[in-house]
Amino acid sequence: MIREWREKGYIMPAKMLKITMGALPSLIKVLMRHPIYVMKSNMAAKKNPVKYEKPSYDVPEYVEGMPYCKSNERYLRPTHLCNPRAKEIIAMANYLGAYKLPAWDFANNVFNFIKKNIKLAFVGLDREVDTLRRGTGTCIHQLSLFAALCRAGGLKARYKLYSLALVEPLYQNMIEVSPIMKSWYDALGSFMLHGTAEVYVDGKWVVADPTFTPEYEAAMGLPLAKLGDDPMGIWNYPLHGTVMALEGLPYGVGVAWNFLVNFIAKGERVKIDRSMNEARKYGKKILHEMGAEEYDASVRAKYQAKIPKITLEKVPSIMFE
Amino acid sequence: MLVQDVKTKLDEILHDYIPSPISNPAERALYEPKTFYGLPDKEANEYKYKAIKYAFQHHYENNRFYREMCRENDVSPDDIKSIDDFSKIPLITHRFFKDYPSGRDFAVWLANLMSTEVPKVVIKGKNPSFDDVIDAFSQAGVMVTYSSGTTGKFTFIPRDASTYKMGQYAIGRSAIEMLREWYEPDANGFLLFPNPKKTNIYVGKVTNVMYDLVKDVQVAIDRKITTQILRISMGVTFNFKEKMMSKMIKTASRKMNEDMVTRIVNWIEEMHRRKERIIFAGAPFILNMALDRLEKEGKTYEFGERGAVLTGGGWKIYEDKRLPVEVFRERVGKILGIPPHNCLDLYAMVESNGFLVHCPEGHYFHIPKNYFHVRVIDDEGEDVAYGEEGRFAFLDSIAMSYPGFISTGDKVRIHDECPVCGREGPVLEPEVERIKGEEIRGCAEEMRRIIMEE
Repeated sequence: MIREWREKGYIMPAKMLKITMGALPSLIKVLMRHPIYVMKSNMAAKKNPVKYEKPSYDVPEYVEGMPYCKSNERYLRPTHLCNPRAKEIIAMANYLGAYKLPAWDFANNVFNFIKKNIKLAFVGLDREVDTLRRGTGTCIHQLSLFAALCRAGGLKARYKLYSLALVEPLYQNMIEVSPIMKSWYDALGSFMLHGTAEVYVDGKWVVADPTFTPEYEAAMGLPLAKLGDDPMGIWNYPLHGTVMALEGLPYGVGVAWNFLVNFIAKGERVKIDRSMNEARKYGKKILHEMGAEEYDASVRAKYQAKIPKITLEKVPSIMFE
Repeated sequence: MLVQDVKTKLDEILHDYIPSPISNPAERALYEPKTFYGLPDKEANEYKYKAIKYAFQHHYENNRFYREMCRENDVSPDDIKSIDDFSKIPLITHRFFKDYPSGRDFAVWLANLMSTEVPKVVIKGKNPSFDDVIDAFSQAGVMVTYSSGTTGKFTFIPRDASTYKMGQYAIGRSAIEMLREWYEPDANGFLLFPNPKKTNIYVGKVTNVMYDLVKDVQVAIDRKITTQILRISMGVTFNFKEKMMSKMIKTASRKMNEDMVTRIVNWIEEMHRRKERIIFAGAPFILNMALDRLEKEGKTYEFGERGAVLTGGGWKIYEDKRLPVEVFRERVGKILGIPPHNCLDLYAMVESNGFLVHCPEGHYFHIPKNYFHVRVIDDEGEDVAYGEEGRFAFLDSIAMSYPGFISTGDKVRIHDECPVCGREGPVLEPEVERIKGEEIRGCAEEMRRIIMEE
């Protein structure tokens, strides 16, 4: 049982514990230094809450006998907050082409569904079906939904989590709008936890980063991410030594986060969500004017030149003993 | 001292840093001009054009990854026909130098980065640490200089002997030209950085030239600082042993800081008593600690024109407090009696060999325009207009061992001329900030994290 728990990631890995423990003192310090500001911010949010649009899709109805993956193999089985056997998940996986389409096409459908429909919002961590019903969530919510849908369709999926530094437009839109978040981020020099998913297709793990809708990416001047695009070096810079691949999320992972965004700093969460909503509206305009393909092609051309990759070549004068 | 006398005097003192013969346009641009900051634009541009075109051709021909980058951007040396074409030279993002592998691959990565011949380097062990590789390169004559941001990620820059010497000569000339009214070789220096002989942190390394510029040098941080120690100081630990080391470093810091401040204060006392000429060079927060002590003890001094302060690396003094430059100058004046025109700041970074120094008259950052071309660019990579803010980028002609065409994470504002001093050529405003979202960096911040117990 302990082995299974460890495999599933239920026991918090040392790295994650270290990241959390390292991040909490500065958060507490920031909150304790500005109690009146936080209180006012929460009251303002209560008076003027952020409006999340209803999802633009309907969750298909589950029909008895719909195929789904019953395997208990690693990366296919249910894990914490990622249940591929939930009825709505099975129904959606089938709707997106599970067991009908080739693996890549199905994974791509899942990726595009989440990317286009699940809007990034700083809500408390909850189950994959809650994310599906609500149409909003953090990157972790999105990854859980992605993994659950892929697993339901028989594709192995896992999480890749890390602490990261953001590029400037994202910092301005998500961090700077909240003085509390800004102080926290600046104290750490990074954001505590982000992740991408990985899905196992045609014999290899393929990166999936469905974090941002195309509208948000356009507003931030980022390329429109596709299945297989790694955001590292594009919009984020992971902290050295923090990257971890996990089958599932550990128990207790969302406790501090939920307490923060649902209670202590709800007002700050609203500010960030509102800022992202505004950005999406702006991005929508850009994509409408330019067309998604043209926008993507022009931005990608710029990004390619920014970080040249070195393909390491053997150097005869470097000798190893 | 007249500005042309600075060159004559320094060329005599720094003769070991000057190649014989001076053989290419980059060397000519550095060693020939009588002044770095006062050349007429026409003459400076002539030197700079030839030097940067030469450097571009050199990296294009000798550096595979940079050549590929140029090909992707459809640019070759033939396209650079005047200074106006400098905007075509592809800029490497500063993040590139942070994207390194570990172990043996780190050595191969460094070698692949270099545009000059890689000497024979022997790496021992199956999984060498960064410090093992750096030591091995050092033994082969290549200085792997580095800096670290707050995330513990390093920027590594390999400097061959020639690039390293040119960098040291450049910082010496840059600093003394702006402090020429103060300078005499019989001065005494206090380096508010790590001992250059005990670290490869660039800021420490490049200030090694100070030992040749003044008669006696004391150092504030006289212990060996490796990448491991620097990383642990940044709060990034990988195992139990490092955690313990981190705790020990922090515990020992208070006592070491007190000793360091005592040494500085005693030195000030002695220099004042002997009526010596002095300079403090380095991280402002360290001098600020000494000023705190002196203020607490109610002591003041009158060094006057015999004293100078050359700061560098950023103005953060505590985790959440930045020291305004003007306030610092006022304190230095009030407590040490050093006039504001002898209290200058220097802007530089591990990736470059260009040293921008405050003018004594207006404290604007002046660009050594004979060999170093500054671009201030917007998000699209286009040059911003004068008076505007943008990302600091540069074309460095004396970086021979790596392509010194780099866009940085710093935000600056550029003006077409100094509003105060009348020297020709563009200047930057006196204070530089990090672009939002870029990790906090700066040699002073590194020092602060190494020695502060907070």
